[in-house]
Amino acid sequence: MTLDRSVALVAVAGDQRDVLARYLTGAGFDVLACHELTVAGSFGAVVWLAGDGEASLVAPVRSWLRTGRPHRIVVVTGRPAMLRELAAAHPERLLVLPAPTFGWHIVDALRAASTPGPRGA
Amino acid sequence: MVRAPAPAIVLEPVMSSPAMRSFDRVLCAVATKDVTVTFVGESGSGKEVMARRLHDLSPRRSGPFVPINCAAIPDALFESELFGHERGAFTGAVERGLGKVEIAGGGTLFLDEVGEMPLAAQPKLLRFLETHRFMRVGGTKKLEVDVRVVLATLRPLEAEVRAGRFREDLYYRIQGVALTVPPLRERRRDIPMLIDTFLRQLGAIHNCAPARLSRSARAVLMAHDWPGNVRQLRNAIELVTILRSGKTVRVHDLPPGFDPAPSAEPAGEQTISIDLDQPLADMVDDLVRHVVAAERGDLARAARRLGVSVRTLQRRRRA
Repeated sequence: MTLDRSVALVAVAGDQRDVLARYLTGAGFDVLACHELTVAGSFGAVVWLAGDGEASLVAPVRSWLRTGRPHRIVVVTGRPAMLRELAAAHPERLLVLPAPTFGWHIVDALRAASTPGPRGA
Repeated sequence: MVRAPAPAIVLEPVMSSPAMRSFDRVLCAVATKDVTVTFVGESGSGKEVMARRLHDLSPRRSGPFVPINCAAIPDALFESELFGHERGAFTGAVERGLGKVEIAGGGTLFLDEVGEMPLAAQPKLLRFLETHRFMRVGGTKKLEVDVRVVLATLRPLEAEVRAGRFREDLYYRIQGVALTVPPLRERRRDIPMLIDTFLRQLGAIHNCAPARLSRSARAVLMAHDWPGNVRQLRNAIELVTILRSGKTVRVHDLPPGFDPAPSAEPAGEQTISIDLDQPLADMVDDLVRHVVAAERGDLARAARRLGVSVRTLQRRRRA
């Protein structure tokens, strides 16, 4: 597993998480799906499908931002405004996508953080 | 009844209508083959979304998808945008810049509105398509890149060739499989799901409770002709999301230009045109939709008019 391709997919267990995990794997990422993530530092990126019942989106994201890794945090939520200030403070690392979003927007957000070098140059 | 939570992610576009299902069958078949694909469709019909789906279904899905809108790039910058430039190639080129072709290496390059590509850039694209080799502007070294080129155009390119705005040799080179993306008026069965998706998404974007559409407002949206297609529908939903956050949207709350129904008069002679080449089920759907719209969403009246029970009508609408 290459570190930059490693993605922690945080979501309630279910079809949606499974399908997204397969989709991200197909797009070339090494995905670990989990319900909660306390230590995010061993992943290149975190994707969080935040349910509407989440009390606070800010605390977990802030804790992930505290260290240099993960390089990229993508949060899919029906309440993106809750993370507006954090996203403005960390534009290079935090991207908030309003739900529902296309799976490829997540892929593009992850790739924006780890653009591969040109081939044949 | 416990309702399943609405999905936070969507992995494929809304395609429950017969027109889209048939379109998608062809798209899935060609996605895995190394053929050039050109999407032809009206503005706002979702050509880029379909190109992205093609990429996602192809063996190149782990590579990048790079869109470029040929109409949005000034002629003078087009070559550099496509193939990149070396440092000092022109005034302002203070460092090497990668072109979209290079960035798309291993993936898909999507040339939107290809009919608008400057004539001067067309022979260079033709050469690249034939050899997969190119040179950055100001460069001396030929570079090779493996990329699938997918195109989109509002109008069939034959007209552009005839008008002398598109090179004939390039036209023949890119002529692969042409897929026509159905306009929204030919895929009305997708409208309710698109409305619900946009209501949720735009409510989230604008930080407000999603609006609720009354049956009559839905019926009007279902019956509208949508010349601006899915983009126009999204814009209409965005407006009601902002103006009617958390409230019910009635017909008079819709943006100007939305007629209450093809005919709001409940009685009298009314006609609809039906495409005789479509399956019987679609003809029935068309008829039901028009009658429900004419009755402004009142299912009981629509059912009476059609001589069926309300339950039958509801079943038909869910089918």
